[in-house]
This record gives sequence, C-alpha cells and structure tokens, in this order.
Amino acid sequence: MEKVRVLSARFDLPDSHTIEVYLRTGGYQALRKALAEMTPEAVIEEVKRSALRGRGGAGFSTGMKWSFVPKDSSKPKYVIANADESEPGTCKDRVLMEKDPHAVIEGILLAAYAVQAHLAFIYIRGEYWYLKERLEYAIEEARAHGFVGANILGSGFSCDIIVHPGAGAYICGEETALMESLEGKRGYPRIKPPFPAVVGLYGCPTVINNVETLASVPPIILNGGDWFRRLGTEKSGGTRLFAVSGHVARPGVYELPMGYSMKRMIEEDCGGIRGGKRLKAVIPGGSSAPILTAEEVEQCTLDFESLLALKSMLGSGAIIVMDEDTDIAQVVYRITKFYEHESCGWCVPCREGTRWMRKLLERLLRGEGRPKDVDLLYELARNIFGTTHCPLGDAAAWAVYPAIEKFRADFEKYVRAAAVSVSAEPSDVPGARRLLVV
Amino acid sequence: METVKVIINGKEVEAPKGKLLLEVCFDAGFPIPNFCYYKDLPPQAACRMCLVRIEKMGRLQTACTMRVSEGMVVTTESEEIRRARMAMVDFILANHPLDCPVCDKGGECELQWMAMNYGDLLARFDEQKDATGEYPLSPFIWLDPQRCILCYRCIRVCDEWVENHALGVRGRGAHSVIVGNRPDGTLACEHCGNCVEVCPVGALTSTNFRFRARPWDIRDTVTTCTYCSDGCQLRLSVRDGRVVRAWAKDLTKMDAEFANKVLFSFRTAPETRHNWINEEFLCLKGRYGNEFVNSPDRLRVPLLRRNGRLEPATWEEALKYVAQRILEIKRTYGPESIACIGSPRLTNEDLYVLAKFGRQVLETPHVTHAMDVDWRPFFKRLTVPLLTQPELREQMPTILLIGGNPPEYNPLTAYSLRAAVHRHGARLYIVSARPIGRLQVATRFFHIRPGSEPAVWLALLDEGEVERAAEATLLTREELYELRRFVWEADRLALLVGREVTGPALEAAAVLGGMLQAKGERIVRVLPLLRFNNSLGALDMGLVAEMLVPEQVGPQIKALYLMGCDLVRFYGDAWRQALARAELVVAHELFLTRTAELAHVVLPAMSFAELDGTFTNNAGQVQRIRRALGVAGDWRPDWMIIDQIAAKMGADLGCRHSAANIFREIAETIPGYQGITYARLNEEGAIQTERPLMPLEVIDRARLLERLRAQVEAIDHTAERLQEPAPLGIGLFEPGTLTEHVPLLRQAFGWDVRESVEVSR
Ligand SMILES: Cc1cc2nc3c(=O)[nH]c(=O)nc-3n(C[C@H](O)[C@H](O)[C@H](O)COP(=O)(O)O)c2cc1C
Ligand code: SF4
Ligand code: SF4
Ligand code: SF4
Ligand code: SF4
Ligand code: FES
Repeated sequence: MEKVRVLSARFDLPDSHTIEVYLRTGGYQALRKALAEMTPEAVIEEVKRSALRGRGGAGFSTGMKWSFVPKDSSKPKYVIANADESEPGTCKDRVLMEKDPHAVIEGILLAAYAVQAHLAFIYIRGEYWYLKERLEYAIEEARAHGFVGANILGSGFSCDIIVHPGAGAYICGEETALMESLEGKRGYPRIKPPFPAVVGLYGCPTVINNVETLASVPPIILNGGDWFRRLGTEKSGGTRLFAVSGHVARPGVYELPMGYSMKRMIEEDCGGIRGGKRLKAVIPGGSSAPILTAEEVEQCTLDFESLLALKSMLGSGAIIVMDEDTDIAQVVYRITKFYEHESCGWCVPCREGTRWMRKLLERLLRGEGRPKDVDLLYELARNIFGTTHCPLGDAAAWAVYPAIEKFRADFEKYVRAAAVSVSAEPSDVPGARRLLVV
Repeated sequence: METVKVIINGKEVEAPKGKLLLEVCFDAGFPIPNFCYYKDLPPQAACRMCLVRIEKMGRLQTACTMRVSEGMVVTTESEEIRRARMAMVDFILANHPLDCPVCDKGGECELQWMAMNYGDLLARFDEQKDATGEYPLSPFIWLDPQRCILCYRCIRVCDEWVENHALGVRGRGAHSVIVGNRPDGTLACEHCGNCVEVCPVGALTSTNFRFRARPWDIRDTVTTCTYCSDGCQLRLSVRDGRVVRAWAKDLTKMDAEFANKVLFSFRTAPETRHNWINEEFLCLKGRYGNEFVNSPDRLRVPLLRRNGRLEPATWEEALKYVAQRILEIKRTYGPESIACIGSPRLTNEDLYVLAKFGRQVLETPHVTHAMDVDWRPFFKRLTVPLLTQPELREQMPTILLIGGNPPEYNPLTAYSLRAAVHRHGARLYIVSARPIGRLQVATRFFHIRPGSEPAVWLALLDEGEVERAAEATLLTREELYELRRFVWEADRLALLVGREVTGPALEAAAVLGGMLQAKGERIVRVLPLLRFNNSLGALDMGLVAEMLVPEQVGPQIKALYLMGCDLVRFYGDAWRQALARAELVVAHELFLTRTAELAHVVLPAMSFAELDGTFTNNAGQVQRIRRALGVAGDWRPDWMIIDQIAAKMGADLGCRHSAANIFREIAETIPGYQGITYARLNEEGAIQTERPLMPLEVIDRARLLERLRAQVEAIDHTAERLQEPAPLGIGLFEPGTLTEHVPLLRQAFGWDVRESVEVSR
C-alpha cells in the first residue's frame, strides 16, 4: 500500500504552524474553491464520496452526519471541533494542532459552510493550554487574511471560531457532555435521541467532529472525494494518524492509509517490539477497544471493518502494543482505574461497576483473590456492557471482559498464588483467612 | 390526540403517540421497576432499572426515556431483562450501607422494595465499602450520601416544583455527592422538604422525623393543611399520641402493591386514593409546621380571671360564668353590645356555629372574622367560577397573575403555575410591582409601579383607559395592549388575583371574567389568592360584618366573643387598651396569646389535628380535616364549647354532638354547599362549591369604571418600581401564632419567641 502523507504533509516543514507556510503549501485553496464554486450540498456530497469516517472514536460517516443537519431550521447552527483528546494512548490531535493548526481551521470553515453555521467552537483539552494559544493565534492570522469572520473572501459567508478549554474531564470528550460543558454546565452526557445534528449546542443543530476528521476535509475538497477514498478502503476512506505507544522500538504518531496491515506497522514502521521481545497483545483503539492477541494482530488491518470483524474497534486510532512480559491483569487494573476515575457518575452500572471492578482487581493483585473472583469480574463487566447511559461505561467493560476471555491465565495466577499461600502459611497473607471462611 | 399501536409482551396496546414507554407499560399492567423516573419530571436515564428490549434495537433501552411509536414491539419480562435488573440492584447495593435497621426509610424504602422484588438472593460485593457519615444540609434536612442512589429526583424537584435550584452534585463518578447551594454545601432555600419526600431511599431525611418512628409504629390520617388558602392535603403521621411528620407522597404512582404495603396502617378506601389537589407537593409550613399540636404550651384547662389573675377552672365553672355574663350584658346594654369575631383558621363547622350563636342567640349584627384583605366585594360580584389547582395545572394555556407573591404566600399555586408551564407550555404573564424570585418560568413579566394594580385592571376592562393606565403603571402602551390581547384573545384563561388588588379593582377582577365570556365562546376561571386556610369558609359561613375598630370597644361594644383570633397580634397594640375597656372578653384558644392573656375567660380549644371538620379553600373547594390525635388535654371543639354555652343560656344550636351533623345543616343552608356530605368528601376528596354568580346585566359597569378611575387617580404617581424581589422567606419564615410553637421552626429561624405568661395552676 502506498504511503502518502495527507495530514502530516507539513509536519516536518519549519514553522509549519504559520499561515505563510500553510498558504505556500496550498492552504485555504479548498475554502476558496468551496466558497467560489460549490454549493453547501456539493461540499457534503464530496465528503460523502470520500468515505471519510469520524476519527474521534465511533467512526461514523462524516458526510452523512453533516447531511442530518436540517436545512430549513430557523435556529442558528454550530460546528464544534472536538479537541478534548483524552483517550489513553491518543496524542494525534495534539500533533495536528501543533504542526498544522490552519488545516484544522480550514476544515472547520468548510464544515461550517456545508451546514451553514456562522459560529464554530474548538473545545480543547485543558492541558493543551499552549495549543489553545497556538490556535487562537492561527485564527487571528486567518482573520487578518479574510478567512475567518464576516463575509469570508467576499463570498457573503461569515463564520467565527472560538477556542474553549476543557477542565480535565475525559467524559467531556463525549459529544453531548462536551456541549453541556460548553454551555457552562456540568459535563454529563445527554439522552440520545435527539442527536446533536438536530438538537445540539444550546438546543440548536450542531455538527461535532474530531479535529483530525475536520483536518481531512480540505484535501478532500481540493483533490476530490474519490481520490481520498482510494487512499484507503472502500468503506474507510483516506489515511489516518495512528498514535502508537507501548513496547515498540519507535513509538510515535504515524500517518498510514486505512487498510494497512497492523503487523507491518508494528514491525516496519515502528521498528518492531522493543528489545527483540515477542508481541503479546495490542489494544487497537485507545483504551476503549477490546484487546487483541498476537494471533489476531496477524490478520488485522487498520480499518474499521477489519477491527469490527475481530469484535474490537479502531476507535481513536491509538495503538497500544504490549510485549510478552506484560501482565494483562495489571494492564486491566490500570485501565479500570482510569475509567473509575473518569466515570462521570451519572448512571449506576458505570459509576458503581467501575468502582467495584477496581476494588476487586486491587484485592486480586494484592494476592487476596478467591477462585470465584475472575468469574465475578467477568460478570461485572458483562453487566456493565450494554446497560450504561453513554459509551464510557461500555468502554470500561470492554477493557475487562475480552481481556479475561483472551488472557485468563494472567488473572487466575493471582488466585492460585493466594490459594497456595493460604494452605502454606495462612496467617501471613492479609485477608487470607476470609478465604477459609468462604 | 394521535395514538399508536405497540405490542408489549405480546399484548397489543393503544397509546398516545410520544408517551413514555414506561408509562404506557404501567398503564397496560406491566409495571417496570425504576428509580430515577418520576412522573412529570425530566427523564434522566440514570438508574438503568427500567431497561427493556425493543425489537430492532441493538441494546436494551431505558423505558423511562423511550417514547412510543407505531409498531414498537417491546419485551419487559425475559431472562435477559431479569438479569439486567438484578445487576442494577447489585450495583446499587454494592457500596450501600445497608443499615436498614436504623434507617428512617426502612419499611417504606423503594430500594428495599426493588431489592426484594428484583435483586439477587445474595449480595456479591465483598470489598471494603467507602463509608461516609451523615450530616445536616440545613436545619431541616440531613443527608447520608452513602445511602444516596443518585436518582437526581431531589435536584429536579427543587428545580421544577419550587424553583429554588438549591441542589446539585459535587464530585465525579463514585465520589458524586448531592450538595446544597452554599459554598460549604449546605442549603439556602425555602426548606419545603419536597426533596426529602421524593427521595426513594433514606439519603435525605427530615430533622423532625429522624429516629422518631418506623412506618409500622405510625398511624396516618389524611387531612387538610391548616396554613394557606390553597388547601393542600397531607397525611399526618402520629406515634404515641404525637404528630411526628406530615407527608404527601403518592405511593400508588409507583406500584399499587408497594403502596398497600407501606400504607397498611390506614388502608381505608377513600384515604389511600391520592387524587389530591396538591398532588405530592407541600410547603415548609404544611410539612414542618404541624408540631405545635404537640407543644407543652398548649392550654389544657379553662382559665378564669379571678382577682385579676387567670386561674384554672373547671369547664362547668367557666361555661356557667360565660353564659351568665353574656346574659347580663345583653340585658344591660342590648344585643348590639356583643361582638363575635372568629378566625379564618377554624373549621366551617366551628364558624357556622359561631355565626348562628351570634345571630340567633345573641342577636347581634357584629359577627365577623379577622381579615387581612377585604375580599367581600370580590365574592359578591363573582361572574365566573373559581379556578382549582388541577385546572390551573392541566387546562389553562393562558394564565395572568396580577399582584401577589405565590411562592411565599400561596406555595401550591406557585407549584401549579410552574407545572402548567413545564407540562404543557402554558403562557404565564405576571404583573407585579416586585420581581418574583421563584417564578422565573413566566413567559412575560410586567414590572409596574407599586400600588398601581388597579390601573392594570382598568386598562383590561376598558381599552380607552390604556393611556391613563400607562401613566400610572409605568408600563408602555404597547405592553398594556399586549396584556389586553393576551386576555381578550385567550380561549381558556386563568386570572389570578393577588392581595394588592383591592376595592374597585377587586370588583373589576370579579367582573372581567364575565365580560370576557360574554364576548365569545371561551372559558375564564379566577383564583383569588386569599391568605388563610379557611378565609373563604369564614365568608361563606356568614362572618361578614364590618370588622370593629378598637375605639368601638368600651363606648359601644361591651363584650367580645373571640374564637381563635389574636386581635392584638393581628391588628396591633391598640387592641390591648380596647380589650381592657371591655366588660367581658371570652377567648377560645390553643395558646395563651397576647389577646387571651387579657381575656376574662380562656377556653382551651382543639387543634385541627384533633378535630373533624371541613375547610373551604380559595377555589371554593370543601375538604375534610380529620381527627388524627387522641385527647391529651381537657379541650373541646370550638363548636361544642359554644353549643354548651348556648345550652346554658337556654338555647339549642342544633349541633347534635357532631361536626357531621353541623355540616349537614351547612349543606342545607349555605348557598353552594348543597349536596356535599362527609361521605362524599371521603370518597371524592375535594368538592367545589357552586358559587352563585352574578349576571353581568345586574352590574353597573359604568359606575364601576368610574370608581376604578378614581382609584387609579389616587395612586401615588411618584413611587418607583421595586427592583429587588421580596426576600426569601418573607411569608414562609414569618412567625405566626401556630408556627412559633413548632420547635423546629423556632430553632431554624432563631425566632425570639415571647415567653408565655406564667399561669397559676
Ligand atoms: C467517553 C468518550 C470520550 C470521547 N472523547 C473524545 C475525544 O477526546 N475526542 C474526540 O474527537 N472524540 C471523542 N469522543 C467521541 C465523540 O463523542 C464523538 O463521537 C466525536 O467527537 C465525533 O467526531 P467524529 O465523527 O469526527 O469522530 C469520545 C466519546 C466518548 C464516549
Ligand atoms: S456510562 Fe459512565 S460516563 Fe457514561 S453516563 Fe454513565 S456514569 Fe457517566
Ligand atoms: S435506604 Fe433503604 S435500603 Fe438503604 S438502608 Fe435505608 S431502608 Fe435500607
Ligand atoms: S427543601 Fe425544598 S427548596 Fe430546599 S433543597 Fe429541598 S426541594 Fe429545594
Ligand atoms: S438524595 Fe435521594 S433523591 Fe437525591 S439523588 Fe440521592 S437518592 Fe435520589
Ligand atoms: S428509571 Fe429509567 S433509567 Fe432510571
């Protein structure tokens, strides 16, 4: 597969974040083209044709999402760039905003034109304060060049962009919680339906897309949807930024075409497993995706369909690679702690379930596990899955039960260790006596 | 209404399109367990107890948020759903303290009920629980966060029912805790306790009820609140002869079986039915203001003034003394020298007997009651029926409130106004001289000059007067035209009249409805915001003579027969001297009030909790009060005291020893009360009296306009609008004769209550 650089094309240029470099490298040509030659509908059609799918997690067709915005609504419409990037392992939006902020801005403007929104927000992770400054600077540059503000390029179309920082909650990356937060409320996910495209920010039709999704739009408009689609697979168009972390020789953000082999990525692009170790497992889509075994990685390609077939997901495109020495129970414990910490607390199964799983895992890892614990943990995760208010709960469950299915031994060994120490020296093991009672 | 067909567990059901699936299932006989669902409150999807399977949908769905649509196929009972429910109970109980044996909610707890019905036999949680202590959020309310299941009912009730927005959540995930609106997490609010009531578990509890009784120790009696004229129904819980709480939760709404289990102690048919005019709402006074009946300060025996001091006496002595003195005075000075003044807090039965006593036995014209505002002109000219609370909530798309401060003085009306807006988007226009803090749901607010309410009525009655009204009210002409359109173009209009509306304006308020209805097919109802629980009953029972001025006592009036009315407190200190000038002052009282202190005879009466009787609320609805307490003092009903005095004077008032008999006579003689009986009241709850309406033709409207114009001319045209809303609690937190004997209120508000005068025993 051909490795073109679409999103990362400017990453290596000096001062790539400035509007001069951006303009010199074809920047704002797509916006110029859309405003001069294309109707909003035509923009949406082009994006549909590109098979661009959301890079934020769910992988929904971007063109479809835009087309759901009612055209006859008398309410104002909004565009939001989701730059909350808080999924563990995910760090691609950061590079984009750092190296190529104008691509994000141009994408936002194209989306705004497509749905006829006149105000857009970038909701940015609070810790990215330095990027907030960079984006605001870029917006002012763009405004000075007539790309942002009233009557853009004399087209009659106006749009402004506001950057708003989050306050350190993962849940505020979930689109409706994000809108609550943007409205100044506590970031609880809303009940869906209605979906944001119809009832979003301040009750108005709203398009919300990931930063990377939006940054993919200018090249689509410039080179055509078909061109973009052909870079990837039929159903997952284009290229995508993969944030690879863990036990590879060269972790980092890589732009690769959709449909690229995961194995090849690990071995060629990332230089293989560190220290010549064997691969044990991969979590393919940020912490929220079910874990893959080394065998599954063999057949896996980097596109939505392939991962779906493996009952996992491509999610935010964060690939966490683990070598043979990794203790999956420890991994699961760490991720569970994350979800417990980040659960917004709205709904029962996620709020109580994540706490329960964390406590159980803690006890297990302390060596106080009991034979039924692994089954109980498995069942807790199953009971969370599919019953929660928002996908965070599902993600918390996905981090656990597939791991037990695939790496049960890693969990069982703690139970065995406890059982052994009980029979040997009951009084040495804290809590072991309880085992005798059971 | 468009209906759709849905299939629930194989049964075809027709339902209004867009209705919540949970409600449709409930109606179809398939109750779905729930915690965070609450009727008429915004859906939450938080507890996940209500998960059901809907065909063609990937995952289980929450029935409390799903709206029914044509062809929906739903399963509410299956292995999968059973397991999901069990899992939710498991999760909720995981960190729950499970201290049911010492929890106030034990026995009427929704979580216990759900756990018994839908939970697993064994809890599987075997980790350390995160324990939290309990602590007060306010002088009235305690929170035990560990028992809280985060159903957010309390928050929503505070937002929607009472608009205090005083509750929220602090912390995230499993550390989420309900908090109050002060920086330290405590509450600055109106202390209505509705949040406590809707709490499904023992997380929120009331200070007065904590650790005082278990549900099975309690006997509940449904009765009517003794404070404002809205007339809420409530259950008084009594344990060992003491009132321990008042509550209004509709348990049948959740599950009939649950309701029966909890209410087993009083499973008499009419009282378990919950078709109350207040639904489940109560205010601070209705909920926390009842324990004056337990007060040690209650008068327990008759007191007779001997050698200048009030001393205990027997009933026989006291009654004989009163009868004798009255006869002497009547003989010496004539019947017109005696005045009977009742209280608008007493029952219709008491007031009726007092009026009859005054007219037939004493033969005096001075039979009246303590009124704060003179509503007589209004009821005399009433042209349309009065508006009930359920009508206000459900049937009135256009509502105009002029004057008044319902959140403080008529809290149920405020609740109903909010409900009308939330439930069916009623348009609410408010005309007031002060912003009303807790009615922000209003569509429009018209801010007028203080005292200029009459000008608004003038403009509403007569388009030609808009100019004059604009000058008086400080509203623009456009605003007044908008108000006129609002009123004259409405199909169904509710007019709410506050107590700032007086004199000719009050007559205008009574007449406008008739004028509107004469103009075309439409429905107009009017609600006068009277003050006391039986203000209207007192008028109906005929205590309508002009109120005395203190100067009349002495030269003209020699004897005062006072029933439950503290003239000194109500009308001011001028009455102290007046009482001293009287030759005889008889006072029926619960407490030794400022007035009773100066009486010659004080007769200990029964409180509303010890009596049978009726009140008539501001919508003209008659409702029962029921005896909830046994006898703890040597006290008697007011009517009985009078009946016995009359007997000693050789007259028979025909009470025939029971309130029911008196009410039978009321129904026969008082216009509008025909056909109402205790039996019907038990059955139906509230029955609206059919008030005689005045035909429009009889009213001299030209003359009325003239008088109204004069009233408008007299408005102080220099007064400025009041920018600040009335302070929170201006009405609710004010000490009154009854509330100041409620220990909880006294402590909470730091009332410096007058020490009661020493009485020798
Ligand atoms: C718990 C949670 C956290 C999320 N965090 C992010 C995030 O940080 N950035 C993001 O783009 N999308 C995030 N999403 C996905 C968004 O809800 C939403 O699907 C996305 O912004 C849509 O954009 P896309 O269609 O371009 O992917 C999150 C979703 C969930 C459930
Ligand atoms: S699943 Fe978790 S994060 Fe989502 S609403 Fe429920 S508690 Fe909040
Ligand atoms: S809230 Fe209910 S379940 Fe919890 S301790 Fe109290 S009675 Fe028991
Ligand atoms: S007592 Fe009433 S006003 Fe106060 S928090 Fe509870 S519901 Fe709100
Ligand atoms: S305190 Fe009670 S009503 Fe409020 S959220 Fe907790 S359980 Fe629900
Ligand atoms: S009742 Fe439906 S989620 Fe709570």
